[in-house]
Amino acid sequence: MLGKVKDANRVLTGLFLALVALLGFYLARPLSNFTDVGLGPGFAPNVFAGIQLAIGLALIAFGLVRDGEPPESWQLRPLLIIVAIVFFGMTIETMGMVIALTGLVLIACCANKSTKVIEALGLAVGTVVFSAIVFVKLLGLTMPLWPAMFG
Amino acid sequence: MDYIAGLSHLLGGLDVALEPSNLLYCLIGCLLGTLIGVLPGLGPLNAMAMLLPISYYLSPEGALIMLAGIYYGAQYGGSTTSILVNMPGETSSIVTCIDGHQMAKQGRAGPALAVAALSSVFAGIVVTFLIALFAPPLTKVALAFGPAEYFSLMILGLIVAAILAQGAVLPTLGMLVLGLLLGSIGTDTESGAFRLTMGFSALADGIGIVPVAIGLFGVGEIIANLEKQEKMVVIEKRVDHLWPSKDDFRRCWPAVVRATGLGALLGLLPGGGAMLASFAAYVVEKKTSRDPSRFGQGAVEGVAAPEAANNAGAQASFIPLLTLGVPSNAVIALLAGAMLIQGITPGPNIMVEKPALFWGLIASMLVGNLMLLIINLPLVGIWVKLLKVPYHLLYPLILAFMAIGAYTTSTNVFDVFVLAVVGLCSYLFIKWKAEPAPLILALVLEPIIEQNFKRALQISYGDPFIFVTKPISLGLLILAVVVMALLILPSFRRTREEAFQEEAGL
Repeated sequence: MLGKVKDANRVLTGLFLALVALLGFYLARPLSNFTDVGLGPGFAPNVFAGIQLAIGLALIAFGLVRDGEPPESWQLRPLLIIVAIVFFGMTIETMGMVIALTGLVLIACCANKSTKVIEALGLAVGTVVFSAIVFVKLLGLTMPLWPAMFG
Repeated sequence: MDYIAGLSHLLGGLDVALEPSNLLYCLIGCLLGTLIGVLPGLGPLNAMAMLLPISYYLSPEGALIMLAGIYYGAQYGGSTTSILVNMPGETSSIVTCIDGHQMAKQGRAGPALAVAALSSVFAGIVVTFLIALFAPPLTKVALAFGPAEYFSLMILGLIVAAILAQGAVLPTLGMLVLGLLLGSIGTDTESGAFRLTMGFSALADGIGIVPVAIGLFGVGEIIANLEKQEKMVVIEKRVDHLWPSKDDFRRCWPAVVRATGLGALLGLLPGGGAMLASFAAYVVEKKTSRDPSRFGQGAVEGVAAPEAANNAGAQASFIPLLTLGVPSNAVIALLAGAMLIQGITPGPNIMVEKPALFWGLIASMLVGNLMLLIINLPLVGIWVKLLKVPYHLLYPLILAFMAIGAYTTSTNVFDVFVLAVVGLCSYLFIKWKAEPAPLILALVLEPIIEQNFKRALQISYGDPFIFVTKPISLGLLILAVVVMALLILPSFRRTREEAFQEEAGL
């Protein structure tokens, strides 16, 4: 399907922007644009969403009409990085930094085909130790180290 | 008249800058900055974004001195990788690769590194004095700026940032407006209504700039790098004979002086900064040289000019923030963020209300530049060893720092998820070749833009023509329109695309 489109990158960017703009309009519905005392809270978001929608539609139009670079292919493995971050977010407060960071590092290492298991484990240990010393002890940042039940 | 006052203030600032704790922060900032600059894929933007949460725990002077050190320190480090590995550690060092690596291949890596460091120091010190001289009068000009003028200035800044960003015009503008839309998320100051918060209470203060910055510039990079799986080749020859020859000096010094001036000017512009300065300086040197064919074959000026310019540009870009209170590029926007975290509102009054902070920061640039010179040349060996660490061992560590940084900004898990979402979007933008840098500038500026817009309308009792009846505002808006037109005009677009292609085709 994408093969027929002349400039897929532009079309996709335009689609993204247009959809986000529409989301913006939707979320700003309960806000008023003009009030008795001046501009309402909805004015700026609606203006920005409007301009963005226009740009998005223009990009889609140009992308269908003009040639562009062929789109790059995607690899799925590197996207494990995002999974790693999400894992960290889900576990940092409930399970503490040690488990959250270990999980993050291990998942992140899976994102690279050539990382060996021993390297991944070593990195996990190293990162946890380093972070515990630098971030928690030295800099005093608020981060639970261990799961909530152990304190 | 005011110039002498500026210099004496600078001496006073040295008092602050030389305090042991501030000296330490300066050192940390410069070292970290150099390290970040050396590592390809990590830039001052990422480093500052990650250290923003920590800056909360430091004194205002300490925080700003450290963050500033990171910015101009990164300009030093970037040249090391450019010269030794032909891979720019920093966007502002891309041009240094051209002649710098050639010099290294000819066995002249030492002089190349030394020239880069010396040019940078020269530029840094000169621009520091320029700031000291011109900041006070500039601040007086800034006081003539009312809300209408601020609004028009920021519109101009955003459009100039779009022109200077790589990438096609329309997607870049789209990113910019997206940044504005994201910036409007939060609580409306007048009515107290929640805007676009989708029911997340964590968004009541707006979307966090730190997770967005890290996600946009860090996470996407890591994912893209993993796709490429490139191996870095370091120069195996030993790096010695550090000192440049007399001939080198003779060729370099006019280039350095020119580049410093050019860099300072370009750094001042809204949207300007180190990268633009370095590129412009290289082009100017090549065009004004008596023997342009030497460029690309290891011409010393090809290293000296961009390195002087990128330092000059980096430091000069502090001026709009410190005098007008308006950040001129994404990195300075983060610095403004750091000030806000400390409870300081950037603006023309900073010089008067917080002289210790203002002059301490400027004086620290002098100290920092000298520190960098002393530190960097002996430490080259360590940086080279560091480059030998394979990327696949580094990136999980970097990712961990990013996640921790995002979480600890407001000790909120929501920010980590923002990081993930923005990181995914950043990957999409890289794939779709959309340049996200204007997004962060727009995100930071949106509250100020909106505030000034509303205030200007209040002053004019609802008359929208105030923006064109006030002379300064009108002038700025006309400039903005001209720049917009340039963006759209085909002939200029071709020149711009050629310029970026030259930069990319190394």
